[in-house]
Amino acid sequence: MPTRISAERWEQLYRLEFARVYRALLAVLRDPDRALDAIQDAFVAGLRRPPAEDDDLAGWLFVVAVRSGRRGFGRSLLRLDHARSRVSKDEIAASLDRMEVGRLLAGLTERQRAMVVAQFYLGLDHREIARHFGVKTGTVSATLAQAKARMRAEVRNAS
Amino acid sequence: MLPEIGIERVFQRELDSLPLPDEGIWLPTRRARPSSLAMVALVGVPLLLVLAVAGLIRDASGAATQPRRVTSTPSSLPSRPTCTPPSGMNGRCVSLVPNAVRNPAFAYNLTIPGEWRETRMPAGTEPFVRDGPSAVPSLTAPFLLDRHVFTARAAQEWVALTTVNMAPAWDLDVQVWDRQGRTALEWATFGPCNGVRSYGTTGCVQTTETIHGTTFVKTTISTLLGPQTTSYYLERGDQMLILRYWIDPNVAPPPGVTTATLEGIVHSIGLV
Repeated sequence: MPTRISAERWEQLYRLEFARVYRALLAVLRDPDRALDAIQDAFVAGLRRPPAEDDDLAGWLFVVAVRSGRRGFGRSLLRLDHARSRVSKDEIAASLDRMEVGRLLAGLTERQRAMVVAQFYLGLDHREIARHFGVKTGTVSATLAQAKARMRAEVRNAS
Repeated sequence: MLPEIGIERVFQRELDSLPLPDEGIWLPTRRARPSSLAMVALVGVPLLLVLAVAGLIRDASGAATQPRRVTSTPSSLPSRPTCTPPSGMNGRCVSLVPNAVRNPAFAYNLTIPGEWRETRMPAGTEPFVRDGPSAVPSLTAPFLLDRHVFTARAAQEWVALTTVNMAPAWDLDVQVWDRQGRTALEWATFGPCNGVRSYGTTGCVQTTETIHGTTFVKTTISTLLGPQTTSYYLERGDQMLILRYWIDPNVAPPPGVTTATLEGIVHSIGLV
C-alpha cells in the first residue's frame, strides 16, 4: 500500500516542482493566467487526495493541471483574481513564437502539445504518459508519432 | 529528421527561459476553489439581489437604523509571506526564487537558494580520495558514478578556491558511488571515524539523521585548524549517495551562507 503524503510535504513538493510544471503548462496552454489557475487547481486536488510519495509528482501535477486547464477554458470570467501574473498572455505567446520549440508546438493540438511536452520537457516515457493521461500506451505512441510528423514537416517548411 | 536527444536539450533550454510568477502567488490563497466559486456565483448573486431589494425596501421604510457592515469572504488558505521585504525597496521582496535541482538518473531532487548555482569540478579531479587500507571502499574514479557541486560563489572566486579534490568550503558536494557491497555505516567509518587519528583531525562524531522518513548516517569530522566536514551517507540499491560540505573559519563564506543554509539544502532532498 503506497504511503500518502502529508499536506506539509505536499506543499513542499509542489513548490519544488512548480517552476518546471508551470513552464510546461505555459508551453501547452500558452496563457499565464490559465497555467497558474490550472496548477493551483492541481495543488488543491493534491490536498484533497494526495498522490503517493513514489508517484512521479511532476507528471501527476502536470496532467491534473492540463485536465483542469481544459475544463476551465472559458470559465476565467468567474475568477475573482484573474490577471494575477505579471506577464500577459500576449507576451508569453510572443516569447513562445520566438522559440524554436514554441513554433513547433504551435502547430499541434493541445493534447499533442501536452504529450510532447510531457515527453521532451518533463522526461516521461510512453508508459508513464499513458498512465497519467489514463489512455493506452498505443494511443500515446500514435499521438506522439502524429505530433512528431507534424513538427518534422514544420522544420522542413522552415528550412 | 528531428534528432530526439537534441530536442530534449532544446526543450529544456528554451522552456526554462519562460518567466515565472512571483513566488507569493504560487499557492492558491485569496480565491475559492472553482467549484465553490461557481456555487457562489450561482447562489450568491441571486441572494445578494434579494438582500439588496430587501435593504432598499427597509431603507425606504426607515426601518434601517444601523450602519451596514462590509464583510469579506475568508481566505481558503492563509496568505503567507515568502520573504521579508527589505527597507527601501517599496515593500517588494528581492530574494531570488529557490531552484529545484532534479537528478532523474540517480533519482533525487534538491532545492537550492536562488543565489546558488551548480558548478563543475575541473576535469580529472576525484572527490575526497583517501589512502586507506583495503577494507575501506575504493574511492577512485571508476566507482564514482555521478557528482554535482553547488555553490553560492561567483565563477572566478570559486575557481580560485578549488583544491585538487574538494569543492571549496561552504559549497555542497553531492556524489553517487558504486557502494561496492558496503553499507552506509561502513562508508562513514574510516580514518578519524574509525578511531584513527590522521590528517590533523581531532575527532569524528557519527550519528544517524532521518530526513523525510529516510535515515542517513551522518559524520562530522573536526580538524585542528578549524575546518569541519559534514557528510551524509545513504545506501540506495548498489549505490551510495553522499552529501558533503565543509565549513572553514579561515575562509569567508559567500554572503548569507551559513551552516544552516547548507543544512537546509541537505534537508530539502527528495528521493524519488
